[in-house]
Amino acid sequence: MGRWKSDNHQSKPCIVTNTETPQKKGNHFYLRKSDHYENSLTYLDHAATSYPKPYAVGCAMASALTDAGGNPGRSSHVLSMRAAELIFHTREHAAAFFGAAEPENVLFYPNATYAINTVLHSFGKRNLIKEETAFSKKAEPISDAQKAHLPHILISEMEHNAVLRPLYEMEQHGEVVWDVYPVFRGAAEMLSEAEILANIKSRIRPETVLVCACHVSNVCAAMLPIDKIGSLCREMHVPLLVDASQSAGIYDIDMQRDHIDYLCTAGHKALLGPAGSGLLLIGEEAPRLYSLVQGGNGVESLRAAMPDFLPEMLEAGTLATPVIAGLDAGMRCLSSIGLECVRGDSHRLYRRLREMLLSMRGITVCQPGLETGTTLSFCVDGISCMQVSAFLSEYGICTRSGFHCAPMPHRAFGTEQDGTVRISVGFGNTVQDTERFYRVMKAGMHEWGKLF
Amino acid sequence: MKRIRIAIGSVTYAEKGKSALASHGIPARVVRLDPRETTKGCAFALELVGTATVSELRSILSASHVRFTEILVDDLPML
Repeated sequence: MGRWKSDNHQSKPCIVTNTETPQKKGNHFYLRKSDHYENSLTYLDHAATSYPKPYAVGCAMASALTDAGGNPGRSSHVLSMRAAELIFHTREHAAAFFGAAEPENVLFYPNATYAINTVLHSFGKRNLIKEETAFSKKAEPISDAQKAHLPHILISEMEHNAVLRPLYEMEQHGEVVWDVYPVFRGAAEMLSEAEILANIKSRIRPETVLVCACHVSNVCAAMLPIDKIGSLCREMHVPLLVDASQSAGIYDIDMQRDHIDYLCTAGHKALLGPAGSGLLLIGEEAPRLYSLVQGGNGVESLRAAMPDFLPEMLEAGTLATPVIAGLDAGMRCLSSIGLECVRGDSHRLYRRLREMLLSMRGITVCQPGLETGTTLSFCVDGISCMQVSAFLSEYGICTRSGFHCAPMPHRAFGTEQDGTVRISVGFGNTVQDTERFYRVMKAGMHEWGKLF
Repeated sequence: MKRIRIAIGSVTYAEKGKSALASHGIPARVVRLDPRETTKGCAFALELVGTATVSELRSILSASHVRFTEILVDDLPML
């Protein structure tokens, strides 16, 4: 095993080819890896995006470009109608996949961030207390008395910047105030479910308009009990937003069973779709949302206002038919194999990697007690996370180092200075991948003077 | 024979209506409505030819939560 040389692949054309055939799982799981890198890569960065994608995903995208290449819902010719039909069937499939009441409650966005922003800004928009114009100099600061009456949004300690940054901006504009419910007891332990629920309950107040729950952390395997949080929110008449970007395609989510009002997720992670795919699913009793952008969608074109019905009231501009087709193919792959099977494989690999890391002296694993999951974060004593990740990358092991767009867990873990190295397993990973990671990590530990 | 067109505001509801009718054995196709037949601009219709009655169609679409604006019935010319 040699170090990866970055110029090794320069002379080869980047042509996708089939390198693995997990026959027991059926042909549509035929995974496509790039010839560019041959078999020298071990991909452990599924929390960033899944790779490789099932063969069917690329085929569906190519087919959409050719067979459904019209603009959906705009024209009356066959290519436009086929595109509209493809998109509708994907809405139907996503609604069934996540237990949404109706296909029109499924919205397609470029990513989970867009979906989350749509929900959060809707709660800010409808409650604007100040108006600024392009000519106004600077907004007057909000007084404490005014703040007490602003809409209040409650978020978990696990949230991603997709939640934190819009809230920060909305707070700066005097639209909302927000608060965090703790879920961690330091780097080694999570609070119990009962403690988390008590933390939420004690922080909900009359002004609370929304509770946010990150289903699974971006940083580690921590998972929130969204079904119980959903029941609590329903009981207290507060809508619930669940960010399922790290859980959709791994865990069973049923919006109606779990009392979720807004489900936001990326499509390109464990749902196996392409980058550029994201979903917002809206519950039947959820408060109305407002579109972040306005524009044409082939509906009621003579009206100045956006349509007042879903999904078109929240979708402006041309939808990305090939991307949506790829997402549909990814979800179909998962449906046919079953989430339980996918989850079982990933959890076995996660446990194996966790045991490997825990066996090495000089490594600190965040939340080491979590028995199931797909994502592990760790630090090597005295070695920067960037250095560790770069070393792994030299040997073709793909990981991520840093803060993973989620600052609050790092404050809880004491890793806010350097972040962590994150490894995440997913569909297509094998035991051989974990062994290869272990060999390279051991080599690194020797290089860094860590004996174990 | 009659040609029935069910005017629907959005292509999503038109597709949903098509699925609902298909599940009752009533084939239909999604078409765009002539702008002269609409008041708010671009709209769609489910077009079908056959023996289904307006009340039957109304009942199926309502049960499936399909939003439609009106049902237009034309007599087809005899060949």
